Amino acid sequence: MSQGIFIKKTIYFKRNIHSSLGRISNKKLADEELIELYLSKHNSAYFDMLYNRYSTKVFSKCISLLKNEELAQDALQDIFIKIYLNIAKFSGKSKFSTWVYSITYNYCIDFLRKKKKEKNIFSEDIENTAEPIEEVPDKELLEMQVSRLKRVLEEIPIGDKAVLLMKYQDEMSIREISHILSKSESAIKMKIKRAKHKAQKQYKELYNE
Amino acid sequence: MAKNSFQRMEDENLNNRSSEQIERVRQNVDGSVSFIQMVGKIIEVYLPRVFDVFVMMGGGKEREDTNVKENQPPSDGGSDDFRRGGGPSSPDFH
Repeated sequence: MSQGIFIKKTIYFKRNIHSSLGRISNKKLADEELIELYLSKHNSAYFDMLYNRYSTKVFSKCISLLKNEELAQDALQDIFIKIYLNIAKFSGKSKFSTWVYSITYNYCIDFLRKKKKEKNIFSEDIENTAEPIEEVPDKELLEMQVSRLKRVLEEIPIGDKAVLLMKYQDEMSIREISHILSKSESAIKMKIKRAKHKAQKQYKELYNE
Repeated sequence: MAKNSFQRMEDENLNNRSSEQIERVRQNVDGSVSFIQMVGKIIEVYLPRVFDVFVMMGGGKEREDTNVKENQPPSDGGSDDFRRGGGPSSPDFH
């Protein structure tokens, strides 16, 4: 059977399953419950539910980091195949959303690293920690106009942007970020401090405030 | 709880995304997942047989059923599964 016919049959089969699982999807199941059901029953409709929950957010993050819709679509596909292949390894130590976003950030960072042929997008600042920098209050970034914030984030290095998104958009803890990026917690604190400083500097340059 | 500027930015991005793109990618993911499942099943079912074929090609014998007792009637030390296994019926069983 060719892959095309197989895929069409699968999609038809899934539509039927979706209608029969309508009752379940109406009842909001926790991510962990869906994973458990998916692993025990091997029913891909449960995986589809997880896809429905996270695909838009993952896609949005990919566009924001990769700055290209086509690349983001490819990334979304690869990320969800990665999730599918590794879902049995999800231990539940962190939230499922954190796990999904960690795969997303790592994928995008690896992609950009390969593209730029940079050894480590996060190495520059962590190595130059001697230079003192002033602490920027969170309030300055968290209350910034959205259009201005977008512009500022476009101008700062991708590594800085990624840590700021993890910290303030996904509200990850320092520990979670350090785990995702395989860096020490103190290195991550310093990275965030520097990223905030760069964002503030960029804001001042762009808007003379 | 009020959202911060980063979260409002994400909301804006989400509102601007077309569901068509997401749906297209979903179909691709479904296709890839189904393909992986199919390959997995093929490997699971046929791979052990492939080894047997190689053994036979090399002049070896086909693997014998190791559970000999399953194929014997209970009177010969076999299990009650003998009947389910398609063995001859006996008046003793009725």
